[in-house]
Amino acid sequence: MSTKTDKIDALGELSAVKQDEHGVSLWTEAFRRVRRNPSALVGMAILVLFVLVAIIGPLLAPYSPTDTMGIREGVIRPGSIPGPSAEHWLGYDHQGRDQFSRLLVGARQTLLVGIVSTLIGLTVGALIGGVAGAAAGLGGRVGRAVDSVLMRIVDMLLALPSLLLAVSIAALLGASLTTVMIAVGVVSVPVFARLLRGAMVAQSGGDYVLAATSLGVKRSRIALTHILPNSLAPVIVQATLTLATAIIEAAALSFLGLGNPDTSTPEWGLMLADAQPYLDGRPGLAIFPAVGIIITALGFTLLGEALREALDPKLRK
Amino acid sequence: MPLLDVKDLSVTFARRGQRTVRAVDGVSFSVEAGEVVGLVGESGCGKSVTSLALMGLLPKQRGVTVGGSAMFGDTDLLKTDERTMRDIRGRDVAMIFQDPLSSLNPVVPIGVQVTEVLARHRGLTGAKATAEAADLLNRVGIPDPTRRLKEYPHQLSGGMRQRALIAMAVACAPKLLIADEPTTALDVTIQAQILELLRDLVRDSGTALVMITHDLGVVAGMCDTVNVLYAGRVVESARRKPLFAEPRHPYTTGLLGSVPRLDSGKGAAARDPRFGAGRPAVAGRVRVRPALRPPCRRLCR
Repeated sequence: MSTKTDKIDALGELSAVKQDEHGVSLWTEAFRRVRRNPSALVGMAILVLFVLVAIIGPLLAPYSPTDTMGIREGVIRPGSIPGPSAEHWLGYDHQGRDQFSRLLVGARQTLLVGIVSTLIGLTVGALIGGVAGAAAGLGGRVGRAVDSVLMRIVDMLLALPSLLLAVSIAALLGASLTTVMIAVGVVSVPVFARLLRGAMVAQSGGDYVLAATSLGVKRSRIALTHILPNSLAPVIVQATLTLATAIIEAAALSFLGLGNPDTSTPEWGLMLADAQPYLDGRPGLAIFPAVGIIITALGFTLLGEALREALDPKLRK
Repeated sequence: MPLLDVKDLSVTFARRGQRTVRAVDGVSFSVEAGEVVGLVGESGCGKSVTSLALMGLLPKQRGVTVGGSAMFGDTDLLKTDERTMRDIRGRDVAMIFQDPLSSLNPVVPIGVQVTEVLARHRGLTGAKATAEAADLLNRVGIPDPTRRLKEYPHQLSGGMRQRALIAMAVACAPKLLIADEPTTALDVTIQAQILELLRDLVRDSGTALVMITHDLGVVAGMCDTVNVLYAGRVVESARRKPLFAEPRHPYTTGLLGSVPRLDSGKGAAARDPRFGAGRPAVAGRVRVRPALRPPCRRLCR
């Protein structure tokens, strides 16, 4: 750390010339560090591929994902689902649809569920955690009371097993894709809330908060421009990691039959559920969507871990 | 009438299951307008707690009790409600802290941090505030201020960071400036520059300065009046020259004697009978006062 600072000091004039107009924020520097991290690059490569497939997958698909051609052609018989061939790279599914096409088209819904549900969790969680954190850090006696109430609610959410909570929400709202997103999102709310609240409380004790207070800066402004930006790093890392678990949880809900009732629209979790009765004869039906889920989750996790390393001041060299 | 009149200031920290700590115990001193007053003492003697108490920055929790009075004009800084204090802080009384790096927000450009003070107390926004901020940085000796405003604290050197903090503190021309060991985290050449800057600012603007330090060199170079603190009490209060020429309290003698000198050899201060030879040197921490035999060679009288 110190050698780096020395270098920055020594090169201050030089680098300043190169930076011309703008300062280098800690975020810019963090992204530079992410780019130098090989596992982050692998993670990003996976994610770029995944997002590409999600966007243009339907164009790449050799067949319609809903066309039950196997049944029409009579190749699907009880106990016999043809496996991979030159025409159908991953074979047919149990309804005679092209498995490869379904995998490509299914990426979109999988990604959509992951992103939307994470955003739900992030927004609601950050709102609760932000209010609680600001109140606890700066609000005095009343603030501590507000914080206590909010956090006890969050604790109650956290006490329920996440899948159980998601299942009850899904059961309450009826099975649909929106339900899956909401359920998975709500499950991650307490995580975000506690994380942001904790980071904000920790930051409120910082010297720069004391310094800003000593200059008469208003509490609301201190919370928004000083404490909040300094507390976001762990939340962003968590968001990346939550994307991975959200995809897995959404798949689990689909698997349990709480997902999109229109079962002809491909989605990886649903494909996994559909493959269950055929695990003996055609394990490929389960393996391919499962591998898709795992690799995607791995991509998000790799990126998230790299972000965590890049943003953690203690790991900075 | 002095600008700031501190009378019988006491601060105690009580914690369940632990003995109550009386960090500041009846401190009184006054500051005239435009005067530089030193609060000198070793670590743990209550210097910083005194300054935080005056600014109303001590945590408002059960167990933290502040007593006495600190009249600043017509207002008692110790009894004013938080809302009024927020108006006073930064506008009438400002503070400079010890560690310039941690006192600046790492993720916000310097410019935003300077202009927020201007917006808060002088109602300046937009281009006007930016121009004023650049002017302020220029006044505290930061070259190329327009560019520096866009930079982040980690891009500035230690000395420049402290200059930026000083700029923020003097942004609203406060009547009283409290500097809590402003040079401790800086290297020696930078220390001299910062002290000179503070001296110039104080002289030009007529701001009174409370200089908190353990560095007697700083005291000798800057202060008009010096208060020596020990174990939460003012043990000696004098004008600068008499203090150095003929210190009255044995602790002051000890403090002066503790400055290492080239000609005195290792451990000379500890062996010096004038401040209690054979007593373990007070290393960094004042012990609980009742338990502490006063380090006074006149005690036997």
